[in-house]
Parts: sequence; structure tokens; C-alpha cells
Amino acid sequence: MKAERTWPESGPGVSPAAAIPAPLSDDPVLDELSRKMQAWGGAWFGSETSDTGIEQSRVRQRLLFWLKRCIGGDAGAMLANPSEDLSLAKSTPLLSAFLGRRAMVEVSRRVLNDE
Amino acid sequence: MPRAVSWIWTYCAIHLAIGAVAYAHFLVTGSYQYLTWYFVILGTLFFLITAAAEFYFAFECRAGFDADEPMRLVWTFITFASSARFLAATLIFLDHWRLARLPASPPLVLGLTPPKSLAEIGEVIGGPIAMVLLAIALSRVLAIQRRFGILRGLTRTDTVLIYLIIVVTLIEAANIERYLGPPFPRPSVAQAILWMSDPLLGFLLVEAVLIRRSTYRIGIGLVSRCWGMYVMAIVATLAGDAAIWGVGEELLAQNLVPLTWYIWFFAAAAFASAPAYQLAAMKLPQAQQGELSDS
Repeated sequence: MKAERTWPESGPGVSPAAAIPAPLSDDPVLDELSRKMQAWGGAWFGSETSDTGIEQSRVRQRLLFWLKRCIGGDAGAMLANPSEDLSLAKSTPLLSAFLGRRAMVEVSRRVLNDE
Repeated sequence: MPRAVSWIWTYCAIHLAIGAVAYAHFLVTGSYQYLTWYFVILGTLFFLITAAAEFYFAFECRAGFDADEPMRLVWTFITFASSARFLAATLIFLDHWRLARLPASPPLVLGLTPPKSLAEIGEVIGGPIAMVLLAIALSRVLAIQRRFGILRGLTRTDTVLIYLIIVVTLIEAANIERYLGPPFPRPSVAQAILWMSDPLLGFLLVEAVLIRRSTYRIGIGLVSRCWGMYVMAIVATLAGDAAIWGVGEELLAQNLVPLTWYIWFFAAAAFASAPAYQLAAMKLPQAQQGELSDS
């Protein structure tokens, strides 16, 4: 029998490696890559602190828009908790479950790319 | 409101407006002629079209999930349920065709008269069988909602409602038991299956109450509206069923009886709207920026 794939892991147990600031090196290419990885990590996992950047705040707003439109008006509030901000990583399981994996890929693309 | 849902309810509104004219004619003249035409021709066509739409939307929703996704199974069962309703509408349509008694119609000339049991088979397929399939799908939805912490515990009102449903079901079972004795003819298999309709509807209502609770928690969105429409469809079915019972017990004046038949159009429209909302949610991320405000 084919095994059912489990939900993507999320929550406090998952520590985003990309969110940990990498030490600066002498190599400018490595620094650039590290900076991009951190920016991507911030966009995907959100910020655990209150000082979110402008881009992260835009991502969060777009995510809230999609959660509100597709799932329900209070879905964002339901997912966020006082210790952890709303993020794509956190909302992916819910969106994938109710919209399907393919639609979720499209939602992620729009959350990250839309103006 | 998504375009497909808007079409369904516009069609329902136009259909009901025509029905209101037919009912007004019945009230003024006392003649059932136009009312019968309305229910037999336009009504049957309405059920066929809404059931076909429901099946199409449910099938598309199912196709939007991969084979290993939990909601795929939900939409598989909903597709089966909607196909059962479509099959039932077709069988009842054929039964009306049999009753049409058109002497010169080609099917009758060719001897293609549908059998008398078509309507009963249709009632079984579109009733208890479709209900069982929907109940399986909704229990799976509840399990998924529970996994995400969307499902809320029961309130005191919910518990009272559930006990009430159990009591009503037991009373009805006791009533059915009266008809199993020797003075009454042995019930047919179809009749025995149809007796299961009310307990199944009760079970569906319990599921609907639980789903309604969870939609409160996630607020109003396309997916929550989808499940809200199933709740509405189940409640409308229950109201239609209660109306049949009320008519059977002669609780309603003769003039009011035809009004109860209109309830089934609301149920059919709600059943068709539910997968239309889900499909709209799945297609929304592909919409252009300008289209987002319209959908």
C-alpha cells in the first residue's frame, strides 16, 4: 500500500538554518550568497523578533491577503501566536491541505514575487 | 462571489421567480396545470443542470489534489456523491418522461418505455447512497480540520442538538417498527434503504454543525464558504425532509403544500455552489492581479 505523505514540518521544533546570521568571510561572493540566503530565510520563515524588515512585512501582508481570500478571514490570526510571527513556512501545511500542493506553489510564488 | 457561484444562484433566482408565477396561478385558479409543468419540466431540468455542475466542479477539485494528499480522498467521495445525485436526477427525469404520455413520441413508438421503478431507484441513489458518500467525505474533512486545530469543541447547544437528533431518530425507528408487522406488506429493499435517509441526515447534520463551528474559527473565505454551503445544503435537505413528513401528517394546509417543494431547489443550488467555491479558491492564485478584486 502506498504510504501517505506527511505534512511538512513547521513550528518551534523546526529551526530555520537560514535565519541564523552567518559570520562574514573575506570572499564577497560568499557574503552575497549568505546575505541572499538570510533574506530568503526571513521571507520564508518570518521573523521571530518584532523588528521585521520592510520586505518581510510586505511578504507577511501578501500572505495574510491570500490566507484571508482562500481559506478564511481569521486563518492568519489562527496560525500566528504571540511567540512566533506568521510566515510562509507556518502557513504552508494549512494552505497545501485545503488548496492542494500545486495551488500552494502558486500562492508561494505570488507571496514572494507580487508587488 | 466567484463567477460560477454567481451563475448558479442567478439561475436559481430566475427559476424560483418562474416558480412563483406558477404558484400564483395555482393560488388564483386552483389548477395544478402550470405548477405541474413547472416542477416536471423546469424543475427536473434544474436538478439535472445543478447536479451536472456539481459533478463537474467536484471532479475538477479532485483533480487539483495529488494522489497522496488527504483532501484528494475527500473530493473523490464528494465526486461520487455528486455523480449519484446526477444519476438520480437522470432517472427521475426518465420517470417523468414515462409519465408524460405522449402518444406519438418516437420512444413510445419504438417501445422504449422506461420501467416504473426508475423513480424509486433514483430516490435510493440520490438519497441514502449519496448521503453515505457525503458523510464519509465530511468525516474526513473533520479529521483534517482537527489535525490543524481548526475544529472546536462542542458547545452546550451543539450537544443538545445532537441528543435531539438521536431522540428523533429513535422515535422514527419506533414508528417504522409499527409498519413491519403482518397487516402491512413486506417492504421492498428500496423502501428499507430509504428508511435510512433520516438517520443518515441526522448524522450529516451533526457533521455540518461541527464544520460550521470550524468555519467560525477560520472566518469567511472561499474554502470556509465551500463547507458553509454544504452545511446549508444539508439543512435545506433536512427542511425538505421535515416538510415531506409534515405533509404526510397533514400538518399543512393544501395551498401551502406546493411551497415545500421549492426547498429542494435551494438544496440543489447549495450542493452545486460548494465545490464551485473550493474550485475558485484553488484557481484564485492563478488569477491576474486585476482579476483578484472581481473574484
